[in-house]
Amino acid sequence: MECNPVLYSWVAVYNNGSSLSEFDGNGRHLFKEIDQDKLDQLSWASSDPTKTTYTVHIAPWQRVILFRRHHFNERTGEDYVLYALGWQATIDGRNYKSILFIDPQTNTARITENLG
Amino acid sequence: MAAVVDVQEGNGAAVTWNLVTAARFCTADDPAPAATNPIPIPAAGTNRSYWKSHAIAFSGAFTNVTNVKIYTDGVGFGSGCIEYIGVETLTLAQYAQATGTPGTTGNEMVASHANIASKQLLFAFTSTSPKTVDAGPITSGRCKHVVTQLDVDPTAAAGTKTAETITWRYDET
Repeated sequence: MECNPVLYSWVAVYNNGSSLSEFDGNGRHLFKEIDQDKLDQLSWASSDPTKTTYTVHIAPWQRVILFRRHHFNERTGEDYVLYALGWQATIDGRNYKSILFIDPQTNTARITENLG
Repeated sequence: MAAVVDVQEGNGAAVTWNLVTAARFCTADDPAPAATNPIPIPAAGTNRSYWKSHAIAFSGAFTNVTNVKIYTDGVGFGSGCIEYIGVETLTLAQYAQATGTPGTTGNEMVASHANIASKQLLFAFTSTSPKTVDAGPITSGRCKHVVTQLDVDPTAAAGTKTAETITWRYDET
């Protein structure tokens, strides 16, 4: 079963002003294609203009966190998707992270330091 | 196209992974038994299903999958029916075909599966406390598989049980 939850897609903006979108005229780009060394900001954006765009600015000392969290119901085939966006960094030998989980079904977002 | 996921059940001695959309506990190594080989309610003691080996297979376009977990709605099949999941989650090489007496009972997973050393209550795992299946990263193919089994005791009520829900959770980049 194909899970194609593209209510939100990512947009990467680089520090030279250029950008890379998950979907463009060349099809779909993968997360691994993002040049994280040049990354200035990363967003979850919707083609629906009524939906909020969520953006994180990335400093050179931060590493980006971006994923879709799927909840795939084996019986019904329903795929409930949360969108995660944030950063992590190693400071004095300890890993710190801050992650925003966006739930478009309930129109809520929460920040956590726990990946769960 | 994003990741394509299929829930699969391993069957046979030389394992074949079969697509399943409605797994059914039964007393045979069968991914689609329909009403054949149900689990008889014992007069005393316990009858068991054959154990089930389930995983999800990933294909399509994605960078990787991590943090694969599984959980239930916490309800279960009711009195006399106890659902277990092996503590260990297994690689393909650790697969073992389910065994038992067809139409009567399966062999108990801890006693008979070479790679399952202990088991837990399946329906104790819920959305707030899911069971970790595979940390990943997975770039293609199948995650580790889980082994589940249904025990039936004399207090069970006869008949087809209402379907229960198992949910797979995973992070896709």
